[in-house]
Amino acid sequence: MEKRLMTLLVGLFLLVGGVVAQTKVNGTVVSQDDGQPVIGASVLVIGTSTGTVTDANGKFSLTVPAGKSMLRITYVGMEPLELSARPNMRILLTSDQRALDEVIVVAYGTQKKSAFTGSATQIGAETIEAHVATNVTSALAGTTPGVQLISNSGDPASNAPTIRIRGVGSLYAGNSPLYVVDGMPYDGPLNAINPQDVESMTVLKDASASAIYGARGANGVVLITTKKGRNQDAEIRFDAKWGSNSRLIPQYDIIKDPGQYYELAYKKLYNSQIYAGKTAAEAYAFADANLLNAKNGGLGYQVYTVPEGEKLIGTNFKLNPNATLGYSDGEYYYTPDDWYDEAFHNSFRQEYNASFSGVTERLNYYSSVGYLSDGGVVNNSGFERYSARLNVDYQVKKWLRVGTNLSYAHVDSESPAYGSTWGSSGNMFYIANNMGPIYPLYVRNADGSLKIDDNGLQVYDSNNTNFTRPSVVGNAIRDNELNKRQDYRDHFNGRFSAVITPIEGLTLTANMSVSARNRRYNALYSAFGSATAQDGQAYVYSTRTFAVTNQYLANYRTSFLDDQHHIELLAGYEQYKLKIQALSGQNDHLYDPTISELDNALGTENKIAESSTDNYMTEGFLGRLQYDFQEKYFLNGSIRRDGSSRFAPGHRWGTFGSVGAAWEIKKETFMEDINWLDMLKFKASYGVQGNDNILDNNGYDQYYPYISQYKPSWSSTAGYSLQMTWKGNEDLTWESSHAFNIGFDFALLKNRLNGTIEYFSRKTSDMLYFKDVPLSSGNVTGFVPTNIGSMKNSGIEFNLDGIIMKSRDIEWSANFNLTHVKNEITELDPSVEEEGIKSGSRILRVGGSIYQAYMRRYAGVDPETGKGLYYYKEYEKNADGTPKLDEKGKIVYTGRDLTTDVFSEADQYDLGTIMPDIYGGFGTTVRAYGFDLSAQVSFQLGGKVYDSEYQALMHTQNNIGSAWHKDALDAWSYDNQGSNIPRLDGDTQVGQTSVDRFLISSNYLSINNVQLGYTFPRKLISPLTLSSLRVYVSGENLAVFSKRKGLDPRYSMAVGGYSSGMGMSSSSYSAMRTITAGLTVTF
Amino acid sequence: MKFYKISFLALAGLMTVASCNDIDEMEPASGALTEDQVQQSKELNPARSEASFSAMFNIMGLPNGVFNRSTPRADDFGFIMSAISSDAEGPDYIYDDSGYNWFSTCGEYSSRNANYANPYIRYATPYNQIKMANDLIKENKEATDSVGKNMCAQAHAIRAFDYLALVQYFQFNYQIAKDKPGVPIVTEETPDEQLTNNPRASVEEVFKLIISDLDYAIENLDNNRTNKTRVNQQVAYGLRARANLIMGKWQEALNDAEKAMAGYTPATITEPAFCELSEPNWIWGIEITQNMVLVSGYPTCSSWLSSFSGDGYAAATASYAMINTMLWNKIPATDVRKGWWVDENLYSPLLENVSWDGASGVDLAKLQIDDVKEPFNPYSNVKFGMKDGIGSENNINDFPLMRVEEMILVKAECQARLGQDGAARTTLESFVKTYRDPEYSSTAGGRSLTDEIWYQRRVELWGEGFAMSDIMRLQKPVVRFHDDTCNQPAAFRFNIPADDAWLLMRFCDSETNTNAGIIDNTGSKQPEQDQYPNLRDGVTD
Repeated sequence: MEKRLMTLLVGLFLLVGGVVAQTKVNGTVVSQDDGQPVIGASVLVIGTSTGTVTDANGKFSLTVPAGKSMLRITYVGMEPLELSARPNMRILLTSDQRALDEVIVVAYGTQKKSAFTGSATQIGAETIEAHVATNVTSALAGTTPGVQLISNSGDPASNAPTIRIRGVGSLYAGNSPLYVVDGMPYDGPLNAINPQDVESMTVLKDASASAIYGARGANGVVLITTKKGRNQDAEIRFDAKWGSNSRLIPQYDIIKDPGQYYELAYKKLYNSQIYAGKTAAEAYAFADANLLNAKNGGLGYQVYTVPEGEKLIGTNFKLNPNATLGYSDGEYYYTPDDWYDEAFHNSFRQEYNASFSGVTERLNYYSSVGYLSDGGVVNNSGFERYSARLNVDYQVKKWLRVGTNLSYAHVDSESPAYGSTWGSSGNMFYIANNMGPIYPLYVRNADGSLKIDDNGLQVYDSNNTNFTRPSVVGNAIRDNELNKRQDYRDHFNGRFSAVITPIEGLTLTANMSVSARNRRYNALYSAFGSATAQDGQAYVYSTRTFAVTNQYLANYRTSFLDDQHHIELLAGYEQYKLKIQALSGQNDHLYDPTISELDNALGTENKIAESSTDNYMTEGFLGRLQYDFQEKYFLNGSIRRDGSSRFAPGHRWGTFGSVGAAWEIKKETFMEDINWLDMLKFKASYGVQGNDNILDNNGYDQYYPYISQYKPSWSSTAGYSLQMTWKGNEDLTWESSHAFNIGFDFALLKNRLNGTIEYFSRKTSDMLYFKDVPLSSGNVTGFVPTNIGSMKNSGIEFNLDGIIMKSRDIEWSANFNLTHVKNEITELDPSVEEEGIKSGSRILRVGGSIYQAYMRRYAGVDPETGKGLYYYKEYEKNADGTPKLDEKGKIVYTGRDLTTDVFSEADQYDLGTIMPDIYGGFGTTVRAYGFDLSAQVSFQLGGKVYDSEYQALMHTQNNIGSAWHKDALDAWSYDNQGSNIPRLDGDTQVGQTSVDRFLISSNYLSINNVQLGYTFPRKLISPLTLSSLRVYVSGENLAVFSKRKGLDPRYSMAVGGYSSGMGMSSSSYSAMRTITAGLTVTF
Repeated sequence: MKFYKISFLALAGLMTVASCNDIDEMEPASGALTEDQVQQSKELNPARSEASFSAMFNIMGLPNGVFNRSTPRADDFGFIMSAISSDAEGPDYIYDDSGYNWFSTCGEYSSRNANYANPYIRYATPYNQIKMANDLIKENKEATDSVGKNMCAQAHAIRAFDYLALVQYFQFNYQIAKDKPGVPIVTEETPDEQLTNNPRASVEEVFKLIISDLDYAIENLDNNRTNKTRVNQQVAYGLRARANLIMGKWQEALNDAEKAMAGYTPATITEPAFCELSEPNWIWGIEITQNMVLVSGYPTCSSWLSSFSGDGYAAATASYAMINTMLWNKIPATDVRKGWWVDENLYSPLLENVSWDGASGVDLAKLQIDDVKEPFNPYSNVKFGMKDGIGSENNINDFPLMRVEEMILVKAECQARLGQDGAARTTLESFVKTYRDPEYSSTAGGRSLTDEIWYQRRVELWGEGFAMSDIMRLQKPVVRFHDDTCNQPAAFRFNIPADDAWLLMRFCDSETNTNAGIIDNTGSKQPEQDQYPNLRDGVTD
């Protein structure tokens, strides 16, 4: 157990005094719990100002003035001890079960946990360091109730998982929490923060905790606090890790055998004829003629050699037993490659961190440097980070303290081509996941050897042989080798503060923080690959982002009437300004085919040069009052008035605020006798927050949503032309969120069991909403941004931490948390309230959730024909067969659902929410004899996800040439009439439309991390002048168990469809597993 | 003392920051222009006022013009895409059944799927343009200056062009379906509230608007214009000729067609062409500029329609637009248009006059360049050239919207419908014999006169977007095959009877979900392979 929670103040004001030396005493302070030395415990000679603190070995020595003999030894979290001084003392401190009052980081300061009326979860450095992760927020997975992490990508260069706190509060505005680093709002990427520098992370979940952040706190707040010096004795810490990254999610269960694949394709072609009324002979003839004809629904490639005059597939739909794999046409040799295996491989991860920290009389410093190199699971993919931090606090005068926190990170990363390019031939993940198992990746010479071109480059199959694939142009795996996408980023964050304490209790703070981010991105499209026609293309992009936050706070703390009433008042002003400047250029005809700079691009006709500037600003006035009586009854209230440049003058300012109360029930006299209960607190809060974070229809920030916007263009023949790109709305204003929280905190069995149970309800009103307008209105965006409607996220959170076993050598603890959230739309635009808002596979309606599936319903297979059947709503017909209309012009339905094999007749149905009922996590830590083992697991239950990759692999559309799931082998046929899978070619009209058949449970269990470490005994390492040495192995993202092999439900929190939401997983960077070993040394 | 000084300083600092409050000054610079910035530009340079007018024409063939998503779609290019879609739904225009064919949705007729992009783009393009026209009409209605009046008149003509395209997608021929629902009408006077409950106007009402818009345009336009992308009086006459032809007003259509064609001469065919606005037979066209294709050159006619782009879909993936051999076989060898498509040996005389990488003739057809060009398929078209030269990667081909040849054929058809068979044959023969086939005789094909004229339209206007509107207008079946020898891929090989309900487009769900007034078309179902093998159309029999 580490006992270093030494506050700065203790260190600073324990001035070593004493004039007349009398008795010299020394000793060691040891914890009774585990026998480990207590570092930084204060030792004071009672009745004097003489004192010291224990060193890294728990040792102290001091001189006791004449006439004094009693020492008082104190340490946070331990029972204070008074005893008489003598030489070679061995002092045993026992932990103070009652006084274990944690201090947590809250908005604009810190607070005793007992006084906190809101809902927050804090995780410390220990939990963060148990993860080998590039992003600090990874540590929240499974550890923090109410928090959901959704990974968008396994790309080592991707920023961080998407975080949703207590559900999804907005339809079209941002749903991301506000990040606050060392007290200042932070909008840089999270991967620019080195997790090793983080001391704690607090998630503020309710309004009383976060309303004071006003406009930006509506989706919760994540406070990140970086490290400070801890010991008077300077500490040097070095940490190194080496490991391996590999693909986490396995491939879907696809047909890998080329023969089996041919058989299936043959059967599909046969079916297409036999069911079109042809004779069996005609159908066989058609399948024989077109199996390899890529222009008429066939596969295009022959990779088997069959004896002269024999067929590849027989009339029994089986591969000719005389066929041998591999085929040569005299010019080339054709044999399939496993694109998946060729694309994915393991890679190396290494990370080194060094830090120096310490506390002196007036100075507290922490400084660190770090290096991380994180490889990807495909080539030319990786992330490299150089980071440095310097945190310094200096007590200039008794009434003035200044501080600076400076951090710098340089990031070099490289990403393959993917992203939103679903279904694109240029997306290597899509290709690797979906390529049929008969296609070669490489071109081979007639003798079977791999072909190398005149430049010495490997020749990839890009339809450049005598066969042509029926789809997929070029070769994305080749392009990933030849094309380069280099991303260079610099992130500087600086915080400068001055704290003045002019009189007792009053603190005036001025903070300024700047965030300067520069990015330079170079993309090369190779003349030997995808940019042959342009003889190479270069794209260069550069942005400069500069954000300044000014913050002025006055805090006054006092108590009165015998210290029974405590009051704290905060008033402040905060201003945030953002400027983003972008510059980009593109050109072709590269002289040197490998250099992606514009001076090397000499084309004259396809030059693009673009630049633009965006500006954004918010400002706010804030105030907060905190009061308690006898530290038993707590009250607090906050208010904030915020303005945002995202809204038109007149709609710009909003007022937000909160109230909260807490009652320490255990401190009441009537509870005194309940010994097993150590703490019981009741708390309740209510507050209102705002959200101005409107995104455009591509999910990017829209800084001027209230103004209609235009894009001009020019040509020498047509002159200037001006086209609208965004339809604004002057009346647009704040979306507000009304959050209510009620719950209990408790601790029992001598604080060995801690827990929280809370109910919350968050209602979002005046939702920022893109009101769809009909296409016939001619509106370019198809919608108008407006404030309308409301929704509610409500639920229960439960968290339990316990120490199961504790002895001198063994400690076993565990944690468990659960969250249930229900999302419900409570109000919509009156014009759509009746019908709901339908868009694609989602319906928004009152009473439904934000993710309400709206799809066609599969009714199984017609056992006679093998065609897929779908439900439709029966309607009354006029004599001529047209639908009968009521007086309002609406179709009259009979209320019955019938089935049809004509897909276009099928209706969409409301299929309920896809959101999970419950999510949560559990973990455990065991420490024994220097060993420690920890594991953290997260899970989700009761939701659904659209498995569009499975849909693609089942080929309901005419996706000839792409991979087939093994389930397709079980498709309906005359000898398999009981099958629930339509016959091959029997369901082609479904195409890319979403059908409930592919909606699957999103339950998962994910082993987020397991770490095993060993800390060497002090006596073994102290001769090496080390104060600690720990070695460990760690596994991050070890396994995900889901309903179907290949499915990663963590990828999505949207209804999804064939090409969106979950569909992205086939085209996105698959999640990675990381296994590392490392060591941590401190001097 | 010190305390007060410090507090004062802090307070003063705070006030300073708060007072340089520029929350009202947050504007973009470039990237997007705000309404204020647009207004300011107009004040500084009044010539900028014409930019919105110019945009109305720009959108007609704009790559990534209407789908408005983060990823460009290779089939989002305005009316040019609509033209290709219409032809690909027809009998004569073929793409392979392969994963490269973005128009397979038209080949197989899944284009009636309400959430597909293809019908979305075909529907959104005209309505986006109608909105621009309505805004211009509203702004210039009362204009007294010639510039404003002219812009207003052109906007009327454009609106008529749009409704003409739309109404034929959603309802049968005017002459049989006058009272049936057409498409919702939006004009400059339609109040915003009505848009969300705007029922389909009857076909008759839509045509009433079309004719009144064209009447207005003809009255207020003359024959001056800045270039052939713009509408002048002749273009308006041409549009009215089309409308009158659909409505069966033969004499009016004939008169209008004659006015439209005055001064233009048919093209002389020597090499791949139909890609430049300046061609003398073009009355009206869409111009594609270098700027438009900078972001992506794939959503263009160069990429899909021409077989000669150095960076296009057709050439790179062998997705060449081909002619149905049933029609091609009917073209006499003496007709120069037979050479618009290579034969089964990949030969066309038109290829003798051009070269790509030094190859001409059949060598050009067989030329293979990795990632750039695949060999032609038999019957691949070589009608459409490249504005920037054969093999150029600049996909800036212009697209014809109205050619003099069409107007000649309208004239001939009207004459035939009016019973003036002799005049009709003279009109037809004098055009074809002079410019296409010196051996031509209008009776040699053995077709009825009106079928002969339709045959001429099918050959002459192949690839230009007339296939389906002609079929709907003439109430003909879609006949893609007679027997197994036709070159349609199996999945697209079927016939559809005349006036089949599946020929009518369905409204996209983006419209039905937001416009409560829409009752969609129903009936029939997606065609199946080899259906109706015995249908004949009078042209390819």
